Amino acid sequence: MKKMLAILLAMLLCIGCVAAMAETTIQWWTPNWDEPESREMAAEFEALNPDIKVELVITDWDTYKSRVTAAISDDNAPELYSVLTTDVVPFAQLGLLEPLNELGAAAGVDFDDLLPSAVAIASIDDTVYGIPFRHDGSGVYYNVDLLKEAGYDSFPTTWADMVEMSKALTKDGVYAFAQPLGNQANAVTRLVQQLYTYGGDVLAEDGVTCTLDSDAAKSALNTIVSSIQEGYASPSSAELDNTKERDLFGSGKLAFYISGPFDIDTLLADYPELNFATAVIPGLDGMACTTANGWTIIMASKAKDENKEAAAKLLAYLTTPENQARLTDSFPASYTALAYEQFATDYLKPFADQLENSKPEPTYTRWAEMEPIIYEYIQYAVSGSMSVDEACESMAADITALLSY
Amino acid sequence: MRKPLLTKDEKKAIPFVLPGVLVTALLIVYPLVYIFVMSFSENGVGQSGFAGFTNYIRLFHNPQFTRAVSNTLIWTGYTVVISFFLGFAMALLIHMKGIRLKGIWRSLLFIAWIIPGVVKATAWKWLFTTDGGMVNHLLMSLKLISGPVPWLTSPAWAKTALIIVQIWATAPYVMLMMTAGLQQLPADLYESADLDGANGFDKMLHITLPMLKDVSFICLLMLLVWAINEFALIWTMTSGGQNTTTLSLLIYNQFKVLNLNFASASAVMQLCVSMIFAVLYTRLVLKEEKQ
Repeated sequence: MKKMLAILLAMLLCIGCVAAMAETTIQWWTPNWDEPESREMAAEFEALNPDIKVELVITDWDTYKSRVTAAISDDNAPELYSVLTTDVVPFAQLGLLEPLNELGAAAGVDFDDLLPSAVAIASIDDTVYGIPFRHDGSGVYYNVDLLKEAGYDSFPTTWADMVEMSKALTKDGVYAFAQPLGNQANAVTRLVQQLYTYGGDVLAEDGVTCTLDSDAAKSALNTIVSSIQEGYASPSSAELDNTKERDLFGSGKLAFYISGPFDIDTLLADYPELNFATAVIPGLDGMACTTANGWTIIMASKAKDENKEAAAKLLAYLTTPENQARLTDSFPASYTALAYEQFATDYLKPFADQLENSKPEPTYTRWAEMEPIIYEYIQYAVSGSMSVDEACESMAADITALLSY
Repeated sequence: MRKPLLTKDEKKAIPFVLPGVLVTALLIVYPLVYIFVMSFSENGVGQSGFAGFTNYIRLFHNPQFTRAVSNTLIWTGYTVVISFFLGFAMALLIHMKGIRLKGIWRSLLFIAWIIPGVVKATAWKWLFTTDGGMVNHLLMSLKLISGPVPWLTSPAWAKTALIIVQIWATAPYVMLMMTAGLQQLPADLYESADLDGANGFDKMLHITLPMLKDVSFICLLMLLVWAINEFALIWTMTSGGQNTTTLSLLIYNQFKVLNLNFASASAVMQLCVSMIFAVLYTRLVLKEEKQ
């Protein structure tokens, strides 16, 4: 009897060892705002694939970039990461990402169903380095009651009309809007949006000459500077980021603000009394041009080779239309998912319209070095230390000097 | 007969010293060498080809680097000099005869130094808020300013605000060290000086200052190292905006955006600046010992 038990025990141990050896563990770094859905999907995937274990690492907005940078550079790096779509190309250019055209297709990623504009931001030439699952731009959130009090039933469609309305809205401690100049990325994105609206660009076609001294750039920066200096954008703009703008809007201190569609749920949950609506961003003669970005899942090239197939399987699962719809508060990057009812609300419609007139946020190789320079001169212009013209010419000169080496 | 390299006792000490040396080498020398190699590497992770001085050439042509060096020098110069003299003045004040509750004064002033960096930076960020910040409120109540000062949102003021906070945070350290030094000074020297008819200034110049030289060196060196390496305070209060980026922030920013080789080159440059002061200090100490 004892002999039998010993043999049984040994067999069980062997089976356990073999099972443990056969199990592949894949790490997926996902942001904290996606954590509940990510956990659900990981559990579902494990149920469907008992030989693959999914380990989640939760990141946050403030530190995700530096943490991912450190992790992805390591030998035997974790396999999958959710990152901003505009971060994909810089990682890929350092050789840190696995090309996904073949690996993804073999695992079941339906490339034909992905929005080409989203895939383009995550690609170099025709090589795809990330599978986007969220794709969005900006729009306007406005306080319906405050606009009505000022005599407006809808949001203006041109920038000039919006400025006119802003002057009427600014009174009794309420400002029409604010500029998110307390945060580098937010501030530079706002300038680039205005720049695109005026038909300008950051670099000339040669890729090394900065064109931020163009008339378009000067007009773009002037819209930001004048909104504060003329008093209809909050004077505390230099201390604000997008989140603080949302809080000020929610508490009735701002009549409108510009942000992405991901704020809708937060506003509905945090400010249930707020009567707000959404609109497209006004431009010169109609809708402005916005910058588009989103979130994408990438695979580390330095991950263990034997894990890559399983990682691709998980990647394909996470980016199915159904799961894209679960992972986004704004828009998915899949045609099929976009047709779902949840993306056809009145709040979301202006954001969808705005995407029709959008350009990707800059993905220049040395954009990360250019951005602080642009931010610095925006601050000089807004604080009055430099004129708009001087700021634009100086930023263009500095960036051209930077790119010449 | 040739003198052996190590004495018998020194040889015996090797096994006891070796673990410490190895740990130090692992924790300090290896990262230093790795950073140095990365700064000459084509690839950010230090595993690719030799890039020569490319990263350094790019660094010197980056306008951000030039400004960061200038900001670091301004920041270091002001904070070290003012903190040192303010801390010294506080120490002299507390050491004066007739001052009661010296221990309590010392403890109260020392609180500023022991508060964690991020906590004090966050608190000061609130105090310096343009609208509704306590600093502006106080200055306006005292009629010292007519309107709010954009302390952290203007390139003209941001550096000043940061320097004020660093001085507030580090001067108490100087005060404590100097107070300890002052307490060690032999009273008979001052009595002799009194008999010789020396006035307060003479006593300060010929007794107090020379006797406090060692403590002053330590204080200055510490202030320099803290100023050059300071990160949390600047990052929390301005994130390097409003022209407040120093070398420490530049390195972090470059690392964050994957310019690891460039960040390494910046780090080597920062190390060189720190080393200049460290070498000066070591030479002075050795000179003192020889004398």
